[in-house]
Amino acid sequence: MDHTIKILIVEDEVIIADNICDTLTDYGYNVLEPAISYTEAIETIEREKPDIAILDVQLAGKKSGIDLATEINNKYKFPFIFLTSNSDKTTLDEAKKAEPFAFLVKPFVKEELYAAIELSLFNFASLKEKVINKENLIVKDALFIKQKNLFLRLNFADITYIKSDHVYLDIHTVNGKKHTVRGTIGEYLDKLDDTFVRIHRGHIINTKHLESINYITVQVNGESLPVGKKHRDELLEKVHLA
Amino acid sequence: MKEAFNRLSTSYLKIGVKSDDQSISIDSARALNIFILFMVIISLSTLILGLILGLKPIIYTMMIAFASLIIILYLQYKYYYLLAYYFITIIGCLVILYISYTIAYIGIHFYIISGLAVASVVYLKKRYHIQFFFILAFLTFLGTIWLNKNADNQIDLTPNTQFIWLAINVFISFALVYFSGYFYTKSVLNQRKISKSARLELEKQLLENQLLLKEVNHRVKNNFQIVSSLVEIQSREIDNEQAQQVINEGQKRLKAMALIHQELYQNDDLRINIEAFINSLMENIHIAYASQPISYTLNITPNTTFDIDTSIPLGLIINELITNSFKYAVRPEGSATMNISLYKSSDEYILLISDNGPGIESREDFINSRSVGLKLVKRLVKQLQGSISYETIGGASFQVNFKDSQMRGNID
Repeated sequence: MDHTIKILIVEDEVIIADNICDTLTDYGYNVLEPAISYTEAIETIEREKPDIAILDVQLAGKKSGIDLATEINNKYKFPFIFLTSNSDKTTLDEAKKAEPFAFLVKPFVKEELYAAIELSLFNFASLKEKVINKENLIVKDALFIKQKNLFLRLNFADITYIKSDHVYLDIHTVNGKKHTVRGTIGEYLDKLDDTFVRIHRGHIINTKHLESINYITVQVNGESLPVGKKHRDELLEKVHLA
Repeated sequence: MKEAFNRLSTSYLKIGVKSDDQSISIDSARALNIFILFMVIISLSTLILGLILGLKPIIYTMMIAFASLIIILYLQYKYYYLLAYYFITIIGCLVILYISYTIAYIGIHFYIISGLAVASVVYLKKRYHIQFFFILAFLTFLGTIWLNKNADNQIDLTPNTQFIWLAINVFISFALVYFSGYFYTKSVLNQRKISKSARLELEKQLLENQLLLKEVNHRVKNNFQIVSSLVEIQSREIDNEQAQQVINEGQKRLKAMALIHQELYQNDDLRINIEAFINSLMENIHIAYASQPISYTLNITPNTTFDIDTSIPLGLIINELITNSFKYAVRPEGSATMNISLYKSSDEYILLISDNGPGIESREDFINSRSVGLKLVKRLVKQLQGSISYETIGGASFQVNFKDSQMRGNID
């Protein structure tokens, strides 16, 4: 369903890791048990599928945070932030090769940590042209929306339909919840994937949750929504293809 | 075949070379070994020649020379450098004299004197060696002339030819000895001088680096002290007793870290002697808990040291567990005791801290404990890739298994 984004911290100094955990938990983020080594981090990534990671360049054991970042880039593809106590050129150059989405130098304050998370998410999304507006973006197959200064993750599969309401949009999910975000239907339609289709001037639906179609309405997750004349053909075409 | 030859020649050249030897350079020992080999070949072929021609004096001389060379090699092998030197010199002189007495026209003393020269140069450590050599060589020279004149069993050749032969040989020998000795000594001495100055420079830099590191650790320790003081000054404004207590605990942790850095700059090798650290830590905690005296015994493998990456978490773990005992192992009659032991098992270290206090209610209480101290300990144990277990055996008893930096570095 919807949940605040999951953050993994990989840091070999457990006191620092715990401190970051506490800070992020206070912000309301969902923070995973910190990992201290490459192997442990990979295990957590496989099991928990985090949305973002904060990696210390130096880790316990043979492999470094840079190795881990490379692996994330190659295989798991989610944004990460580098954390280091050395801001010297050699370390920075090495770290840059792994293309981090943000960089934090110890010691840092919690505001910097917060900003780095925002920055990395936006950088990651903009790389794939998936930034919708200042507050909302798409990472892989999920919509990240900002609610009370915190990113919520809405999986595409869980979104049933989006309804326009003046300058706001209501995003409805399978569990019947509604999230109100800023933005226009047009902005969203461009960035969402093929499962979404516009059925009306003010409605986008997820075809995966489409239950039935009749002449002027469709049934989505138990709710009936109006179908616009202009959009009917497009809807039928999509449904046929699907 | 070729490989076996190579191995043989390498091990031959290594005779007399000590890996940690400073008094004789490896090059000198090698030079002597090569020279002895050369001499052995010469004396063997002369011996064969003597056998063919049936010249008894040559046979005897060469047999003596050959045996002497083997003895010298043996002395080299046993590192009796000085003995080898005197032996080669005296045998050399005797051989020259005997040859002069019998067959002066054979220039064998040329080789022998050269051998003397190499030996004297190789073992040239003090000046009088070369002076001794020159005096001996001069006496031998006079002896050969005198013996030549008075010899009655010489093998043919006219006396005049003999004398010319002898003079030329002796002259060439001395010239060779002098120049080869002079240049060789010069080059060896130069080499030593260069390597010595390079070594001195390196030593100087190393010393500077160590001083710098010590200085840095000293400052780190001072800064911890300042932070601790700042916290204390601020905490005076707190009325809330609980808040005050929290701050005090934080301050004690800062002090424990300062102690680690103090140990660091007091030791030359930038490692922390854990026994010394625990003793200072105990003193500090004793002051803080003056009303709860506790006696303790340490059982730590002597000279156990750790680097900074292990010492900080380990020091904090020990600080928490000891503080824990001070807090809870209070006995009205003042007979509280504590045992701390630390030793290395096969692939990890084991730290045992126990007291005779009431202990924690149950193992579950330990596992679920919400105390900041125990939580911190559990987290830090993770950092040391170890484990912690608790038992109540006549008091609280903690066992921490952990790995040092080197052992931790082996994981992925």
